[in-house]
Amino acid sequence: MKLYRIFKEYIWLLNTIYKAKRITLREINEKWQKTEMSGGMSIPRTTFNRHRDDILDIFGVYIECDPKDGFRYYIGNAHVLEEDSIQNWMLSTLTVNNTISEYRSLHDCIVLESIPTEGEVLSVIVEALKESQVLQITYKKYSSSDEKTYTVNPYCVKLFHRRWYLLCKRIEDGEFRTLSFDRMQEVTPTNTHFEKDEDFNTELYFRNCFGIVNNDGTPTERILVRAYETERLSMRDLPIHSSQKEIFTSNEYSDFELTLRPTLDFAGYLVSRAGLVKVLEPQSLQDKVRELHQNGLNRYE
Amino acid sequence: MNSPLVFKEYIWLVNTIYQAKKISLREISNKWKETEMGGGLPLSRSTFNRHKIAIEEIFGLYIECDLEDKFKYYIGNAHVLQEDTIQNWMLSTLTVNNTISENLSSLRDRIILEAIPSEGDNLCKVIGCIKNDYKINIEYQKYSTSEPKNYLIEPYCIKLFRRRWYLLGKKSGTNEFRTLSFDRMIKIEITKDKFRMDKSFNAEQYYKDCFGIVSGDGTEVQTVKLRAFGTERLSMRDLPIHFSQKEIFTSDEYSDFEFTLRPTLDFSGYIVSRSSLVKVLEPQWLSNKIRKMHEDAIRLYQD
Repeated sequence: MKLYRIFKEYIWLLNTIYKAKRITLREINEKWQKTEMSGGMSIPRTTFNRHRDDILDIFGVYIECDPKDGFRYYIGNAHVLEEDSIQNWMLSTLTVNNTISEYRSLHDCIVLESIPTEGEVLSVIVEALKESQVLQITYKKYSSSDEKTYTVNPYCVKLFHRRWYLLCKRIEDGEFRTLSFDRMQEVTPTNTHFEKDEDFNTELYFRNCFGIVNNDGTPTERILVRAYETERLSMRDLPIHSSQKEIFTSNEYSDFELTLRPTLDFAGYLVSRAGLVKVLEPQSLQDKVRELHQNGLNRYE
Repeated sequence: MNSPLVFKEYIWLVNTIYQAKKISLREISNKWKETEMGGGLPLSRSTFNRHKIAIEEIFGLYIECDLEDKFKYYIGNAHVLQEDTIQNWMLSTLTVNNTISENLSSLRDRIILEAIPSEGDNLCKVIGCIKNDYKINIEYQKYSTSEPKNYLIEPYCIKLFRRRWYLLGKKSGTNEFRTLSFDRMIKIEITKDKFRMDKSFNAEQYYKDCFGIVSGDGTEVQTVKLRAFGTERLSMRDLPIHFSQKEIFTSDEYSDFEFTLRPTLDFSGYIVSRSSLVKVLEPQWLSNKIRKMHEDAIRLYQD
């Protein structure tokens, strides 16, 4: 377990500085000495500096020192730990690994959900992203029994609800597509390179999406929904989209405003909240949700 | 950077053996030579043996040798890698970490991930109580704008579900199970009061009967039959909605699927969201409930 220990120290250090926001080496050591790992010893400055370098290498997180503020340490690019970034993912999964690995004897009492690793496909695609390499992908949709082969420029990989997706531009029609890894029958790198569209911004691209669906041509709209009873408490705590704002509150209900593309998965979500959420605007979405309920009901007539 | 490198070797080794199912040391070594880590050199038996021990310690995975099958290596407890276990979780997250961490700077903004909350010390505290059979006093606030409540809980297990942590426990002195979400716990107080865990309890089995995380609402486990129309049945075949799913009838227009689970409110919500693509055949009460949910929703639009 010795090797694992050093990893644990990095994670501890990173979490400690991140939580404290600004902290001196002496304060770090006071906390460190209280941990089991330290065995009561402090971290020498040279070790600390080596750890800083390793943390930058492994996590891409900068631990900086502010000479104007009593030589306090802070995380220079802390924003990356607040996003769905690689850094945050690594830190959070490793922190959890740390916590649970000590309790392996309790394996029956800890139930986890794993992330599919998708073996080779993930490494082939990540490599193609890095090298701006054109990919050939044989794809079979869930809702169809036919296979299709696409030639695509890979733009970005996204993990969503424990499934991997590739956002790519189809060469034949220049359209962006989101392809699910588990529907890819074959992924072949080609020797052709492509120029990435410099205007393309991944974050902006996904910002107006409810989930992962984004290529069915639905334009972004302002949406108004009314939530009743406990549903509004739950929506306050867990916004259904990053654009959500509570714009009206009464004793019985709250109205929320959202700006997104009301794709079919969003309509499906609203339908699942039957009786608890009502669509006020736009009319087209209200009609759609009503129709979905009516069609569902018709199955039982 | 030495230590993380060795870590990578462990992960490579486990994945290589796991994918091959059975593999000789020579075959492993040949694959090893082709990797960047190997750099064209073979994997020595002594390194392999050291790694084997480390893998056992870190991941709890046993690499065994089959004396009767040409001394091939295999993972003795490979079944744990097919389940929602600690081993599978660690291996899968570390494998992904490995794949992406090499290219950190050049891939900024090109890989978007979903982080898992680590819940700081609370997770540790609760696991400690599970280990020692201590009761926990939890101040719990279901929604941030509702009244907090106090629960004295006998902790049984923790579960990660849709990127949130939950504690399953019995309300002390009763037979009622409760699922509490970690992010709604305001205060956790460890009591020195011991409880006796129900030995017949099996966390895995318990959650097998659930559709999601909802479990303590008194809904009994039962047989549910659904009819899926159009493309929905293709997608249900590829992505079963519950592990108990069986296709029991197929026609040109639809397929019927059978399940054994607790049809709790989250399950009903799921069926309602599929609108006309899925119909409940059995039990009757569930079919009535789905009807009523659609009716209630339509009523909202009528005045």
